[in-house]
Amino acid sequence: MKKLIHTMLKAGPLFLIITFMISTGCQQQPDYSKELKPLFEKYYDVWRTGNLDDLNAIMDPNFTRHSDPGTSAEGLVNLKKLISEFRAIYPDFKLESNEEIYSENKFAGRWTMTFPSASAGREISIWGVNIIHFKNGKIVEEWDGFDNQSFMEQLGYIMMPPAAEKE
Amino acid sequence: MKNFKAFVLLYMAVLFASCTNPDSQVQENIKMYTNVWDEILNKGNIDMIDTHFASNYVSKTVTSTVNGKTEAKAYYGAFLTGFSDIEFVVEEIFGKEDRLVKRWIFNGTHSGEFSGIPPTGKKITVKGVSVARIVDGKIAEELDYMDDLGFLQQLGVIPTLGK
Repeated sequence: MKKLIHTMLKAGPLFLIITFMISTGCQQQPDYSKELKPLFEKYYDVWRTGNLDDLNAIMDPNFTRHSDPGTSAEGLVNLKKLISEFRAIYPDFKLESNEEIYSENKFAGRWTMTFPSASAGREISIWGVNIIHFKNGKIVEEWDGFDNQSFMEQLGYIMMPPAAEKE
Repeated sequence: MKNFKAFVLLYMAVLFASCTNPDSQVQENIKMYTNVWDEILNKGNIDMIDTHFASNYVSKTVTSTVNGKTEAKAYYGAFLTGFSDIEFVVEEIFGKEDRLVKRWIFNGTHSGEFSGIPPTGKKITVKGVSVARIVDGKIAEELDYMDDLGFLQQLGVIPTLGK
Protein backbone atom coordinates (compact mmCIF):
# COMPACT_ATOMS: atom_id res chain seq x y z
CA MET A 1 0.00 0.00 0.00
CA LYS A 2 2.79 2.33 0.96
CA LYS A 3 4.43 1.51 -2.31
CA LEU A 4 1.24 2.27 -4.20
CA ILE A 5 0.88 5.70 -2.58
CA HIS A 6 4.49 6.42 -3.27
CA THR A 7 4.08 5.56 -6.96
CA MET A 8 0.90 7.64 -7.17
CA LEU A 9 2.65 10.66 -5.75
CA LYS A 10 5.35 10.32 -8.33
CA ALA A 11 2.75 9.90 -11.03
CA GLY A 12 0.68 12.91 -9.84
CA PRO A 13 1.03 14.92 -13.07
CA LEU A 14 -0.01 11.88 -15.08
CA PHE A 15 -3.26 11.70 -13.12
CA LEU A 16 -3.91 15.36 -13.70
CA ILE A 17 -3.37 14.92 -17.44
CA ILE A 18 -5.64 11.86 -17.64
CA THR A 19 -8.37 13.61 -15.65
CA PHE A 20 -8.12 16.71 -17.80
CA MET A 21 -8.18 14.80 -21.08
CA ILE A 22 -11.17 12.69 -20.14
CA SER A 23 -13.20 15.54 -18.72
CA THR A 24 -12.65 17.74 -21.78
CA GLY A 25 -13.39 14.82 -24.09
CA CYS A 26 -16.55 14.36 -22.05
CA GLN A 27 -18.22 17.29 -23.68
CA GLN A 28 -21.42 18.81 -22.49
CA GLN A 29 -23.75 19.80 -25.29
CA PRO A 30 -22.66 23.41 -25.74
CA ASP A 31 -25.07 26.17 -24.83
CA TYR A 32 -25.97 27.60 -28.24
CA SER A 33 -28.57 29.93 -26.76
CA LYS A 34 -25.85 32.42 -25.76
CA GLU A 35 -25.05 33.08 -29.39
CA LEU A 36 -28.48 32.58 -30.97
CA LYS A 37 -31.03 33.88 -28.45
CA PRO A 38 -30.13 37.58 -28.92
CA LEU A 39 -30.63 37.20 -32.71
CA PHE A 40 -33.95 35.43 -32.26
CA GLU A 41 -35.19 38.03 -29.75
CA LYS A 42 -34.23 40.92 -31.98
CA TYR A 43 -36.10 39.28 -34.87
CA TYR A 44 -39.29 38.89 -32.81
CA ASP A 45 -38.90 42.44 -31.54
CA VAL A 46 -39.05 43.71 -35.11
CA TRP A 47 -42.41 41.95 -35.58
CA ARG A 48 -43.54 43.67 -32.37
CA THR A 49 -42.14 47.16 -33.00
CA GLY A 50 -41.99 47.44 -36.77
CA ASN A 51 -38.43 48.84 -36.60
CA LEU A 52 -37.50 47.23 -39.90
CA ASP A 53 -33.97 48.69 -39.99
CA ASP A 54 -33.06 46.52 -37.01
CA LEU A 55 -33.28 43.54 -39.37
CA ASN A 56 -30.22 44.65 -41.36
CA ALA A 57 -27.78 43.57 -38.65
CA ILE A 58 -29.33 40.17 -37.95
CA MET A 59 -30.71 38.84 -41.25
CA ASP A 60 -28.91 37.39 -44.22
CA PRO A 61 -29.92 39.39 -47.34
CA ASN A 62 -31.06 36.13 -48.95
CA PHE A 63 -33.25 35.20 -45.98
CA THR A 64 -36.22 32.98 -46.90
CA ARG A 65 -39.34 32.48 -44.84
CA HIS A 66 -41.49 29.42 -45.61
CA SER A 67 -45.02 29.65 -44.31
CA ASP A 68 -48.52 29.70 -45.74
CA PRO A 69 -48.79 31.62 -49.03
CA GLY A 70 -49.86 34.82 -47.27
CA THR A 71 -46.92 35.05 -44.90
CA SER A 72 -43.98 33.64 -46.85
CA ALA A 73 -41.14 35.87 -48.03
CA GLU A 74 -38.07 35.48 -50.19
CA GLY A 75 -35.27 37.94 -49.53
CA LEU A 76 -34.86 40.52 -46.78
CA VAL A 77 -36.64 43.21 -48.82
CA ASN A 78 -39.76 41.07 -49.06
CA LEU A 79 -39.61 40.16 -45.38
CA LYS A 80 -39.66 43.85 -44.50
CA LYS A 81 -42.63 44.31 -46.82
CA LEU A 82 -44.42 41.36 -45.23
CA ILE A 83 -43.87 42.61 -41.66
CA SER A 84 -45.04 46.14 -42.45
CA GLU A 85 -48.11 44.85 -44.31
CA PHE A 86 -48.92 42.43 -41.50
CA ARG A 87 -48.58 45.20 -38.92
CA ALA A 88 -50.85 47.43 -40.99
CA ILE A 89 -53.62 44.81 -41.00
CA TYR A 90 -53.13 43.76 -37.35
CA PRO A 91 -51.71 46.79 -35.55
CA ASP A 92 -52.49 45.66 -32.00
CA PHE A 93 -51.19 42.13 -31.88
CA LYS A 94 -49.11 40.69 -29.06
CA LEU A 95 -46.44 38.14 -29.86
CA GLU A 96 -45.15 35.86 -27.13
CA SER A 97 -42.46 33.18 -27.23
CA ASN A 98 -43.56 30.14 -25.20
CA GLU A 99 -40.80 27.66 -25.79
CA GLU A 100 -37.29 27.93 -27.21
CA ILE A 101 -34.91 25.13 -28.17
CA TYR A 102 -31.41 26.02 -29.36
CA SER A 103 -29.11 23.66 -31.21
CA GLU A 104 -26.05 24.25 -33.38
CA ASN A 105 -27.08 27.05 -35.77
CA LYS A 106 -30.71 26.03 -35.29
CA PHE A 107 -33.66 27.17 -33.28
CA ALA A 108 -37.12 25.72 -32.76
CA GLY A 109 -39.90 27.31 -30.81
CA ARG A 110 -43.56 27.73 -30.10
CA TRP A 111 -45.22 31.11 -30.11
CA THR A 112 -48.60 32.62 -29.37
CA MET A 113 -50.11 35.66 -31.01
CA THR A 114 -53.17 37.43 -29.67
CA PHE A 115 -55.15 40.21 -31.27
CA PRO A 116 -58.28 42.08 -30.40
CA SER A 117 -60.89 41.53 -33.08
CA ALA A 118 -63.79 43.88 -33.60
CA SER A 119 -65.66 41.45 -35.85
CA ALA A 120 -65.33 38.59 -33.39
CA GLY A 121 -66.00 40.94 -30.48
CA ARG A 122 -63.21 39.42 -28.41
CA GLU A 123 -59.54 38.58 -28.38
CA ILE A 124 -58.34 36.05 -30.94
CA SER A 125 -55.40 33.81 -30.15
CA ILE A 126 -53.35 31.55 -32.40
CA TRP A 127 -50.19 29.53 -31.86
CA GLY A 128 -47.53 28.20 -34.12
CA VAL A 129 -44.27 26.34 -34.27
CA ASN A 130 -41.21 27.56 -36.13
CA ILE A 131 -37.70 26.52 -37.01
CA ILE A 132 -34.96 29.06 -37.72
CA HIS A 133 -31.57 28.39 -39.32
CA PHE A 134 -28.52 30.59 -38.67
CA LYS A 135 -25.37 30.98 -40.73
CA ASN A 136 -22.35 33.13 -39.88
CA GLY A 137 -24.22 34.84 -37.08
CA LYS A 138 -27.21 35.77 -39.24
CA ILE A 139 -30.73 34.37 -39.64
CA VAL A 140 -30.92 32.71 -43.09
CA GLU A 141 -34.09 30.66 -43.18
CA GLU A 142 -37.33 30.15 -41.29
CA TRP A 143 -40.17 27.65 -41.44
CA ASP A 144 -43.24 28.86 -39.63
CA GLY A 145 -46.57 27.16 -39.24
CA PHE A 146 -49.59 28.38 -37.39
CA ASP A 147 -53.15 27.51 -36.72
CA ASN A 148 -54.87 28.97 -39.78
CA GLN A 149 -58.04 26.92 -39.46
CA SER A 150 -58.66 27.93 -35.89
CA PHE A 151 -57.75 31.51 -36.80
CA MET A 152 -60.43 31.58 -39.51
CA GLU A 153 -62.95 29.86 -37.26
CA GLN A 154 -62.33 32.45 -34.55
CA LEU A 155 -62.93 35.11 -37.19
CA GLY A 156 -66.33 33.51 -37.86
CA TYR A 157 -65.61 31.20 -40.79
CA ILE A 158 -67.00 27.70 -40.87
CA MET A 159 -65.33 24.84 -42.70
CA MET A 160 -67.71 23.51 -45.37
CA PRO A 161 -66.87 19.93 -46.31
CA PRO A 162 -67.19 19.04 -50.02
CA ALA A 163 -70.08 16.66 -49.21
CA ALA A 164 -72.16 19.58 -47.98
CA GLU A 165 -71.89 21.26 -51.40
CA LYS A 166 -73.80 18.48 -53.10
CA GLU A 167 -76.74 18.62 -50.73
CA MET B 1 3.63 -1.59 -10.03
CA LYS B 2 1.02 -4.06 -11.21
CA ASN B 3 -1.32 -2.66 -8.57
CA PHE B 4 -0.67 0.81 -9.84
CA LYS B 5 -1.53 -0.06 -13.44
CA ALA B 6 -4.76 -1.66 -12.29
CA PHE B 7 -5.54 1.43 -10.27
CA VAL B 8 -4.97 3.75 -13.25
CA LEU B 9 -7.21 1.62 -15.43
CA LEU B 10 -9.93 1.56 -12.79
CA TYR B 11 -9.62 5.30 -12.32
CA MET B 12 -10.04 5.90 -16.06
CA ALA B 13 -12.97 3.52 -16.25
CA VAL B 14 -14.77 5.35 -13.44
CA LEU B 15 -14.17 8.71 -15.12
CA PHE B 16 -15.48 7.43 -18.46
CA ALA B 17 -18.53 5.87 -16.89
CA SER B 18 -19.47 9.07 -15.09
CA CYS B 19 -19.20 10.88 -18.39
CA THR B 20 -22.64 10.52 -20.01
CA ASN B 21 -22.52 12.29 -23.29
CA PRO B 22 -25.76 14.29 -23.69
CA ASP B 23 -25.27 14.46 -27.43
CA SER B 24 -25.28 10.69 -27.83
CA GLN B 25 -28.56 10.59 -25.87
CA VAL B 26 -30.07 13.05 -28.35
CA GLN B 27 -28.76 10.94 -31.26
CA GLU B 28 -30.34 7.84 -29.74
CA ASN B 29 -33.66 9.65 -29.27
CA ILE B 30 -33.54 10.86 -32.89
CA LYS B 31 -33.02 7.30 -34.11
CA MET B 32 -35.91 5.93 -32.04
CA TYR B 33 -38.30 8.80 -32.86
CA THR B 34 -37.60 8.69 -36.61
CA ASN B 35 -38.03 4.94 -36.70
CA VAL B 36 -41.29 4.93 -34.73
CA TRP B 37 -42.97 7.42 -37.07
CA ASP B 38 -41.59 5.68 -40.14
CA GLU B 39 -43.15 2.44 -38.87
CA ILE B 40 -46.51 4.04 -38.00
CA LEU B 41 -47.08 6.14 -41.11
CA ASN B 42 -45.04 4.52 -43.88
CA LYS B 43 -45.56 0.92 -42.81
CA GLY B 44 -48.93 1.26 -41.12
CA ASN B 45 -47.62 -0.29 -37.91
CA ILE B 46 -49.94 1.55 -35.48
CA ASP B 47 -49.00 -0.84 -32.66
CA MET B 48 -45.69 1.02 -32.33
CA ILE B 49 -47.78 3.39 -30.19
CA ASP B 50 -48.23 0.60 -27.59
CA THR B 51 -44.53 -0.05 -27.33
CA HIS B 52 -42.93 3.36 -27.85
CA PHE B 53 -45.35 5.93 -26.46
CA ALA B 54 -45.39 6.77 -22.74
CA SER B 55 -48.61 5.80 -20.93
CA ASN B 56 -49.26 9.46 -20.10
CA TYR B 57 -48.60 10.54 -23.70
CA VAL B 58 -50.01 13.95 -24.61
CA SER B 59 -50.15 15.43 -28.09
CA LYS B 60 -51.35 18.88 -28.90
CA THR B 61 -52.19 19.59 -32.50
CA VAL B 62 -53.75 22.72 -33.91
CA THR B 63 -57.18 21.18 -33.89
CA SER B 64 -57.16 18.76 -30.97
CA THR B 65 -55.50 17.38 -27.88
CA VAL B 66 -54.74 13.69 -27.70
CA ASN B 67 -54.40 12.07 -24.27
CA GLY B 68 -52.94 8.62 -23.76
CA LYS B 69 -52.17 5.73 -26.10
CA THR B 70 -55.79 4.76 -26.90
CA GLU B 71 -56.66 8.23 -28.13
CA ALA B 72 -53.34 8.40 -29.98
CA LYS B 73 -54.12 5.17 -31.84
CA ALA B 74 -57.55 6.49 -32.83
CA TYR B 75 -56.21 9.89 -33.90
CA TYR B 76 -53.27 8.65 -35.98
CA GLY B 77 -55.17 5.56 -37.11
CA ALA B 78 -57.62 7.90 -38.87
CA PHE B 79 -54.77 8.99 -41.17
CA LEU B 80 -54.02 5.35 -42.00
CA THR B 81 -57.64 4.57 -42.91
CA GLY B 82 -58.19 7.92 -44.66
CA PHE B 83 -55.09 7.81 -46.82
CA SER B 84 -53.18 5.27 -48.88
CA ASP B 85 -49.77 5.48 -50.61
CA ILE B 86 -48.58 7.38 -47.54
CA GLU B 87 -45.12 8.80 -47.85
CA PHE B 88 -43.94 10.48 -44.67
CA VAL B 89 -40.59 12.21 -45.11
CA VAL B 90 -38.56 13.84 -42.35
CA GLU B 91 -36.78 16.81 -43.90
CA GLU B 92 -34.87 17.82 -40.81
CA ILE B 93 -34.51 16.64 -37.23
CA PHE B 94 -32.48 17.93 -34.30
CA GLY B 95 -32.65 18.07 -30.54
CA LYS B 96 -31.53 19.42 -27.23
CA GLU B 97 -31.64 17.49 -23.97
CA ASP B 98 -34.99 15.65 -23.86
CA ARG B 99 -36.51 17.68 -26.71
CA LEU B 100 -36.61 16.84 -30.42
CA VAL B 101 -37.75 18.93 -33.33
CA LYS B 102 -38.64 17.63 -36.76
CA ARG B 103 -39.82 19.20 -39.98
CA TRP B 104 -41.82 16.81 -42.14
CA ILE B 105 -43.90 16.29 -45.27
CA PHE B 106 -46.89 13.95 -45.50
CA ASN B 107 -47.97 12.75 -48.95
CA GLY B 108 -50.96 10.50 -49.49
CA THR B 109 -54.02 9.67 -51.52
CA HIS B 110 -57.37 10.41 -49.91
CA SER B 111 -58.87 6.96 -50.47
CA GLY B 112 -60.91 6.50 -47.29
CA GLU B 113 -63.24 8.60 -45.17
CA PHE B 114 -61.32 11.19 -43.21
CA SER B 115 -62.73 13.58 -40.63
CA GLY B 116 -66.24 13.03 -42.03
CA ILE B 117 -65.13 13.69 -45.61
CA PRO B 118 -65.83 10.83 -48.01
CA PRO B 119 -62.87 9.68 -50.14
CA THR B 120 -62.05 12.08 -52.96
CA GLY B 121 -59.16 10.16 -54.50
CA LYS B 122 -57.11 13.36 -54.34
CA LYS B 123 -53.37 13.33 -53.79
CA ILE B 124 -52.49 15.62 -50.92
CA THR B 125 -49.28 17.08 -49.53
CA VAL B 126 -49.05 18.56 -46.05
CA LYS B 127 -46.05 20.08 -44.34
CA GLY B 128 -45.57 20.33 -40.61
CA VAL B 129 -43.28 20.76 -37.65
CA SER B 130 -43.33 18.64 -34.50
CA VAL B 131 -41.70 19.27 -31.15
CA ALA B 132 -41.42 16.17 -28.98
CA ARG B 133 -40.28 15.27 -25.48
CA ILE B 134 -38.64 11.89 -25.00
CA VAL B 135 -38.66 10.43 -21.49
CA ASP B 136 -36.83 7.16 -20.70
CA GLY B 137 -36.67 6.25 -24.40
CA LYS B 138 -40.42 6.75 -24.96
CA ILE B 139 -42.38 9.48 -26.73
CA ALA B 140 -44.05 11.37 -23.89
CA GLU B 141 -45.22 14.57 -25.49
CA GLU B 142 -45.70 16.00 -28.96
CA LEU B 143 -46.67 19.39 -30.19
CA ASP B 144 -47.69 19.03 -33.78
CA TYR B 145 -48.23 21.82 -36.18
CA MET B 146 -49.38 21.19 -39.69
CA ASP B 147 -50.90 23.37 -42.35
CA ASP B 148 -54.41 22.25 -41.46
CA LEU B 149 -56.25 24.81 -43.54
CA GLY B 150 -54.20 24.00 -46.65
CA PHE B 151 -54.76 20.33 -45.87
CA LEU B 152 -58.56 20.68 -45.65
CA GLN B 153 -58.62 22.85 -48.77
CA GLN B 154 -56.82 20.10 -50.69
CA LEU B 155 -59.66 17.80 -49.59
CA GLY B 156 -62.13 20.29 -51.01
CA VAL B 157 -63.17 21.99 -47.78
CA ILE B 158 -64.08 25.63 -48.34
CA PRO B 159 -63.88 28.15 -45.52
CA THR B 160 -67.16 30.02 -45.62
CA LEU B 161 -68.07 33.06 -43.57
CA GLY B 162 -70.81 31.90 -41.21
CA LYS B 163 -73.02 34.12 -39.16
